[in-house]
Amino acid sequence: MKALVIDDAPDIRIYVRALLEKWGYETKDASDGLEGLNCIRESDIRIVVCDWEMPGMSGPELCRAVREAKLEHYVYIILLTGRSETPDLVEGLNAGSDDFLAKPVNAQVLQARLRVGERILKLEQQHTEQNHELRNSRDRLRKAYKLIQSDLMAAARIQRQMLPRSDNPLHPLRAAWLFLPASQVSGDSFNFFELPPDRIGFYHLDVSGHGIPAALLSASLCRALIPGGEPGIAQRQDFLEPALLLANLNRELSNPEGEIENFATIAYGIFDRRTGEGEIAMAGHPPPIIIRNGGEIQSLNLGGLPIGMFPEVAYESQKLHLDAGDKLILYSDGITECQSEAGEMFDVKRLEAVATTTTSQDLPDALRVELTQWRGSSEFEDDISMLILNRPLAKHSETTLDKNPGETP
Amino acid sequence: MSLEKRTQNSVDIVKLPEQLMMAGAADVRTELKEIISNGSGKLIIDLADTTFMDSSGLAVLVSCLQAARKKDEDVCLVHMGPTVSALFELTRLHTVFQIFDDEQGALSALT
Repeated sequence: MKALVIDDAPDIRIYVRALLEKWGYETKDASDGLEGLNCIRESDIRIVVCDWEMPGMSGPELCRAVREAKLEHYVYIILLTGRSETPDLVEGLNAGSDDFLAKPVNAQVLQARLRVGERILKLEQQHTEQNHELRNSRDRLRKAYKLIQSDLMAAARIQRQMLPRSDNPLHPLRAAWLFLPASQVSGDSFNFFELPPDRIGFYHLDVSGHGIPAALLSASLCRALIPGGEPGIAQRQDFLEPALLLANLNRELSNPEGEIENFATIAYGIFDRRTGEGEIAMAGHPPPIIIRNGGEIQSLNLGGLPIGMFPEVAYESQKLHLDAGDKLILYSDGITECQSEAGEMFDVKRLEAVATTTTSQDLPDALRVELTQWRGSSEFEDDISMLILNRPLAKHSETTLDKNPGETP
Repeated sequence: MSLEKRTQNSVDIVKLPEQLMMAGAADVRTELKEIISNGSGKLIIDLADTTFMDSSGLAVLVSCLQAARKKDEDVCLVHMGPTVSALFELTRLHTVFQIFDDEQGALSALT
């Protein structure tokens, strides 16, 4: 360990240095405060034995200068002094000295004081090393977290690209939708596409769980649900037969050996865009709601095993028909199971109430407002999504039936 | 968390909590899988207290069924309430699980 002796008296300098060398220190000396300060700055000095009274910079002034210098390591300073009055000691300690040694120098006491200094420096060293390690691991964590965040954001971007951009492919049918993922990456997804010449296909799906594994399953399902997207999964003509499409998807995505972690519930259907005739099949998805032009509500309670649980499953489909002014609402259970602060669920009844008093195009926003109020927050526990398909009345105008805001729960 | 469990005629009988949802599903899954792997593989799941279950809860029950059937045994459900029952009908899982009104029926099915 490097030690520095500062004293304007050469005899004391030589004596103390000799003692320190004998005890194994690597030593230097300086004859005044300023020279000492430079030496401390330039060499790796850890212990300083310094006279109190010197011409120029005094011992306490040197202490102050060392503390202000913000050195990389702590420097332990023992002041040599003939003073023993309390105010002097206080001044020395306040200036930044660590210990005092009375003059004339007693070798045994000096050695004991140096050991105290070494103990403190050792603690300081350990402390610095631990801090350093902590800082390193914190930096590594930050880096990893940043990487995960950017991956998540990329995944969320890809997922958003799988959502519809406009309802043009449905023309003359219209669509509106709501998508509020619980975390950045959602297990919910939906879309629609043309099935030439006259039909359109649509789906709404919800993968159990959320976060990355759910999003991965959601993404592979979406790819499989794009006509001509993923070779080998859905055969082209499947798209016209909802029950067959679900059976094929399920066969591909079930692993008979594996343990079930994630599965998906799906509603898949088709419509003839001119006549409004359609067909829908469901794999454990919440019952879609049809709201007729007159306000009558129908629930399509068609059961089916979720996709990805058991390999050989048959699905049923059901015919449906959209007349002018009717709308079909597909939604995830994140809406109906959205809990208020008191733990009460939003329930399908409230969804129906909003849906019957709002036009298709206004429904997503209206529902978002209702749910946020219900929840008491814009943070949701589960993904929230809804797809509304409607067949407009002539001139794209939908009746604003019973539009009475007072009725909204 | 610890589930209420007893064993009768080498059938493990476990009571599930009031709600089986995403938040607690992983723990329940681990515990049930341990019971199946340490026991005979015959399991009765008592849903008397379970008033609500979400899709994560369903995944837990299905994974138990798969684990039990790997041991050539089975899982029976008893005391299913109306909300859970509606979920089972929607997902057609009532066609996959053996469901009984009471424990006696389940016990005689498993033994």
